[in-house]
Amino acid sequence: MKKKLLAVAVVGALASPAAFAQTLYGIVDVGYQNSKYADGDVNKHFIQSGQHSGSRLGVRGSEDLAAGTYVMYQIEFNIVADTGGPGATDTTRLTFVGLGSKAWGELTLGQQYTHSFHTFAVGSAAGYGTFSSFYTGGATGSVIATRASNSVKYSSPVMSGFSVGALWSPGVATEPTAVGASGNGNYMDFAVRYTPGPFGVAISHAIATAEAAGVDNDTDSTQITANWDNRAFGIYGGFQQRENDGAVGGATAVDSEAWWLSAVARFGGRHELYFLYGQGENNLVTGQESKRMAITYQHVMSKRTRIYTSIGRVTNEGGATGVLNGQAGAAPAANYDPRGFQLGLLHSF
Amino acid sequence: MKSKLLAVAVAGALASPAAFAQTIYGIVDVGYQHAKHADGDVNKRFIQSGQHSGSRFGVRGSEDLAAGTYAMYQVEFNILADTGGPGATDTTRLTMVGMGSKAWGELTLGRQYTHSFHTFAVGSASGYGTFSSFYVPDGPGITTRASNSVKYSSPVMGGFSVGALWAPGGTLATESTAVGASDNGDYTDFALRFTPGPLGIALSRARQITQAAGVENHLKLNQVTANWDNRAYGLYGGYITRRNQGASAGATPTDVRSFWVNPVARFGGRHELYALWGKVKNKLLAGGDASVVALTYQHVLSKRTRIYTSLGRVDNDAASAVELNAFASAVAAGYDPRGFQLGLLHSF
Repeated sequence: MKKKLLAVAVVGALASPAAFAQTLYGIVDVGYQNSKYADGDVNKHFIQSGQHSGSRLGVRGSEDLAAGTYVMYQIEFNIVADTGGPGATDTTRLTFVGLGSKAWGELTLGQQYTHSFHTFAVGSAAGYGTFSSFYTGGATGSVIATRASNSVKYSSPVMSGFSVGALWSPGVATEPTAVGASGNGNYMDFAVRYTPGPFGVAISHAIATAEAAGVDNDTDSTQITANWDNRAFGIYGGFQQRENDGAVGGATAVDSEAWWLSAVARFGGRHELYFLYGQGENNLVTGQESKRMAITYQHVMSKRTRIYTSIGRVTNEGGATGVLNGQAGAAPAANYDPRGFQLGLLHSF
Repeated sequence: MKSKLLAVAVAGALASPAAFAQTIYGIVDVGYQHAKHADGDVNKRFIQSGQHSGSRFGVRGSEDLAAGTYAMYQVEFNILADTGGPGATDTTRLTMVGMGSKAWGELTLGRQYTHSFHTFAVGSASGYGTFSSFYVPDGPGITTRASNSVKYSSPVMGGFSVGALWAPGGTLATESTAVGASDNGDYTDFALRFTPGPLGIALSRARQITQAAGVENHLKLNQVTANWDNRAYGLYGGYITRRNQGASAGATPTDVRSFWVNPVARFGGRHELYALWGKVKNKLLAGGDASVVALTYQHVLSKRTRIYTSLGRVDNDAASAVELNAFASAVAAGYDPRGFQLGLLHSF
């Protein structure tokens, strides 16, 4: 899937021979979306970047060090493929450096994916993209911190199906310097995964801290995900709960639950069909709930190129404003039921 | 001209063998410009990026798929070669993905050139760069690129080619979501070209919509361009009208006509001489006419490297504020700007 730009073996001046590899890679994903997010004379035509996978351009590499260890880095630019993204072409997608070994796992530092993010994939046939993924935001969706800045992350190797990970970040945007806010913006999470195949199960727990004037407020997110997948058929699903101490410490009150089922059928070597049903409840408002349904078909043209198309809808109740994953347009009014259709082309290199 | 970093043929598990190619390419163009843009104690010395061709750095590639089709992509970063451009190194130059075949043409999606842009080249010996190109914003006023666009480009069949582009929100940063503005920012264009060589002729039509509170205003740009070029001498030219429906929907009233001639002489394998004479007529202003004259010499050091130098001037009537192409500064109405430029371009 990715090509090596360069692979040079150098017998250097240092004690051990060092192997060095570097890869340029990326994804360009652009497509059409018909998004019904309001009634009346509003635009419903959108050309969107990254409906399936975020468009990106990156460089990564590694170097072998002594005793089976290696050093690695990755820098990934955000590519806004529909507009060229005035000003948005930064490396907030991924930027890190780390050390690792096959036996002991990897320690990485920088802006990187959280373990809660990785754990979601165990319960999502459609990954993080298309309407058929439940990777949605809002009080009635699955709210997962995708990436953490200023983070130190440990990821174990997979040992007879088991793997664990932990991440700590003292300030997911920038570290706090105000008095009485020493823990503000702290994020940490850990995950335990058992994925021997053809089934897998995983849990993660994340704590995001807000603090103002010495008052702490922890938002706890717990996630359980599982799948069974024999490559022809698969069923995926998960449950997530989020809660904090209410509206203290400069945070807004959070208390929500969500669960989803995501099924996949693959046939003929080139065809993939995904389904999603999921619902989320905001426990702070009686009866506030969003139900999401979607179907996606993906035509696999090659390992690197695919066409995807979806239809989806959301039913909002009790003042909910949930939308489909990656839905374009303005936020819907309370209780409005958004619908969408998407058709896109993805090429990775 | 471009270097292939890698070209690997893979016989994969899928039905057809897939070939894959990837290229890193770019242009760095920096030069000096002496711009007389106002009288008095004002700076006239500028070091400019992209006076001939916009400085850029890009990656592009393609992959062969079944039945003669292919998938392709291109990501091109904007390089401000004079300052490094704090914050401006985005990919607004070009970012797209597409599918195509030799027989059926190409369908591409993303941020890309319009067909009106391509059509201009048929009538411009100097392309889009140097003072000798008539690609001035106040004159032809062509939309260079469209965001959020879907574009079809046919193959060239017996000299003929056609193309069409549709972009909901093509001239905006993002598609409109306001009530009563469902078509605001929409851009569509199409072009028909007959370029068998040594002559070519092309026409294009573009429509750009402004809409507010349910009221639409269409800005239409019609273009006819032509050339005759035997590689030693060439004569290029074109005619453009640009007009909208007045001040409705918050738009600026527009009714501008322009035409130009742009000859070229190439000699000794390394020398190119370009001249431009063009006129802009703004029908909505008394004294809204301007004429542009320029002369450019380019010394071709190699296929990839050239030095260019130009002299140019604009005669503006009392209400006109037209500048030279790639001029370093805007001018006041009625002022007659003059300029000299000397730059070095290297493409890779």
